[in-house]
Amino acid sequence: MEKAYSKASFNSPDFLARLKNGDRGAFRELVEHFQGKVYNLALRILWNKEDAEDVLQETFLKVVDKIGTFREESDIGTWIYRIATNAALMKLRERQRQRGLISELTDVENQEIQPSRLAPDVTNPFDDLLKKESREILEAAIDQLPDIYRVVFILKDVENLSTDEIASILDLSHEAIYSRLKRARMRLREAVLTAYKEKYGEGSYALS
Amino acid sequence: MPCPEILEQICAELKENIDSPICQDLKKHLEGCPECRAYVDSLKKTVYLYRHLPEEAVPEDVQDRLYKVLKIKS
Repeated sequence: MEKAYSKASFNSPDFLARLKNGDRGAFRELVEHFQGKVYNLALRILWNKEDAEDVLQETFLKVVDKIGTFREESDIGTWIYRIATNAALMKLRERQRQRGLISELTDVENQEIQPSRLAPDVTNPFDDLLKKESREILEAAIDQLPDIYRVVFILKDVENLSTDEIASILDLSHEAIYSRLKRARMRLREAVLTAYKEKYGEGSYALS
Repeated sequence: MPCPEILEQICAELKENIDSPICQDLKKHLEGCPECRAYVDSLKKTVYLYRHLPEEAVPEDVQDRLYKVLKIKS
């Protein structure tokens, strides 16, 4: 049966001392607890299972390597998360270089989005999307989102990182983060609305 | 009420302070306009949906390879 851990137990001086002394049992407990978070973060940023697995391995190898430098006043979960985010972004850059997408990504930023306008009195399709079968619509929509938007959206809206943290990790200005975030949200909203229209028909909600 | 974060972003984009007259006008408009509210609401719901997508379990073979790389056995 899985043991229950509180956030505090991983940050206790005793547990951190075990980790820093190379206690394999302590490290295994840490991996068992945080692997799901790391894997899902990587999966959401990279949208590729093999790449997410690489990030998972790289993250914990780095944790082993750098645990000696971890400052005890910090939160170990946040620290692991930051390592994982950086590893995922490195992977993303590597992938972009391999695929020669740099120019394409620049073009994407200049594309205008024409939002459709929801009439106020219609049934809101988003309520329906809470249903289980609609998960694939959400996944397809985020899959189509260009990397530069998806990363900001995932870090800010899904993972709740602060704008300062994202600015530091991505080396972007606050203005650039908000601009990408806005475009990501609009694109996702549009994709969800379009998918809904395809699924339930033109008349199911009104576009003005 | 309008979503404060979205209002803040619109103001940032306009390079205006949140308390500036133009942002206050915008706030008043958002509070009273059903169409804007529907739009903001759908954006908020989009974010909500993604935030609540269930987490995927780490597949067993992925875990096995991870433990092997890290030289730990489960």
